[in-house]
Amino acid sequence: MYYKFITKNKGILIKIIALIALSFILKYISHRNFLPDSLLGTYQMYMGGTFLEESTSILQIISLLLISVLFIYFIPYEIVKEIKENEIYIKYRFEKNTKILLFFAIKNVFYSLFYQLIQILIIAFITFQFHPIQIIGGELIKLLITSTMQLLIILFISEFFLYYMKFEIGMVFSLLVIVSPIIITGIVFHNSPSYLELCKYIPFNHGNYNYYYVSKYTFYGTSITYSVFPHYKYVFSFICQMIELVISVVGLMCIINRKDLLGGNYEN
Amino acid sequence: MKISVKDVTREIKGNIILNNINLEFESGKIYCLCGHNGSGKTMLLRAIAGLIRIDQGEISIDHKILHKDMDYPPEMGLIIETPSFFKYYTGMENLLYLAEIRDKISKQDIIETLKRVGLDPHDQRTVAKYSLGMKQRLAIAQAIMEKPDLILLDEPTNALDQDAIIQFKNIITEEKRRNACIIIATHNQQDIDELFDEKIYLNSGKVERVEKND
Repeated sequence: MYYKFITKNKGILIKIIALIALSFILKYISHRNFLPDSLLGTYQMYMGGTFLEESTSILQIISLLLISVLFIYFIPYEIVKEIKENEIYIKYRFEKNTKILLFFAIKNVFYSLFYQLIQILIIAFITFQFHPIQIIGGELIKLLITSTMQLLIILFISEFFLYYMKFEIGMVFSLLVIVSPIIITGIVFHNSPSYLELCKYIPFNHGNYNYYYVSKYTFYGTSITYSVFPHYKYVFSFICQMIELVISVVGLMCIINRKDLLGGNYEN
Repeated sequence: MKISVKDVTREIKGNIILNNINLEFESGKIYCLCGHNGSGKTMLLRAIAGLIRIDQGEISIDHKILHKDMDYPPEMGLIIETPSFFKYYTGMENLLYLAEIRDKISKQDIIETLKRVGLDPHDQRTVAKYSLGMKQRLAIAQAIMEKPDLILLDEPTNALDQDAIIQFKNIITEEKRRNACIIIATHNQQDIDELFDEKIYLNSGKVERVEKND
């Protein structure tokens, strides 16, 4: 039954492709047309998040805000709108609020995987035009897991805000979640680099810095993306993201469960 | 099916909108919740439908308590307030979408239901182009298409012309014959007065009196 709902809104798929293309173009221009020589390197540079040294650059922040606004508008907003436009008739038919959460979860997983697939295909196509084929498998898989988890977290958190609040306020809160960890990390990096290690404890920051092979600030990249304890390098990030994901999902579930459909003059 | 509303109270922003309501409903009967605007009839309907929580008391359906044993009554059909559908889908597409959630009925069942309410199943117009009367008919269709055991209707005859009201009365009578429990909230009961087995008069969130049609 649920698979039918995924394919209903084909417009989202087209918007995702357009968004990825825009994101790539913006980064390609700002990095002066530099293409690394491997799929992993290209993915990290163009889709692996923000460069630490650019975290307080106005241009990069505007670019990030633009992509984030479009991302929230194209995906979680559309998913929430689908429910809200016909909320009563849809909700009571599900009969259980957990099924409504499943509705969100299946769409989020599908769109996250689709997003990643398109990114990889675009980047592979572009990289292999100019360089021989070189894939660093294990690292690429870790990177894909981290960035997919980040997408899922952003989707659930945005849906939490957009479902509970009016669109404009929900959008602001969603953007705060996406952008503020990056800005805070940038400020710390530029003003107090010795405290950079602590930035890995900022919520929702783990998917933001995945470029460590490419950036000249490899040491700092390593210390943010991975734990200082060698045996827990990748696992630390993974566990933090799992906790963030669980919190986001539970938050959305609580809102679905608690929201009274008062209607009329009583509606918020 | 037996619905029990016991000591139900709900307050919103300092106003008591449901005040110690005690009622029972059963299958095969049509109930009317009567009262002026603000009497609490819509809120009572919402409470029974599981759309709002109550501050005190409990609502149970066949001994299962709402918001404890279940989130919404099972096998329910509902119209609440102004019908809202996907504007850029046709009537048929809207009902197909909704029917896929429970996945109990076929496309042919939806076609039959649309004809029953006086709508053309092959109408290619989107709901955005529907009149209020057509939207109301579509709302009635979505409420009855899955042959629910419990039908809750809030002002179902709004925007309906006389022919549509006659059609509606026939539909409700058929649903009663099918042994559904039907609860209708309306401030305009004279159009459909002869349907009701029981009329419950509400005022300021309280049950003022109950009239039974024996």
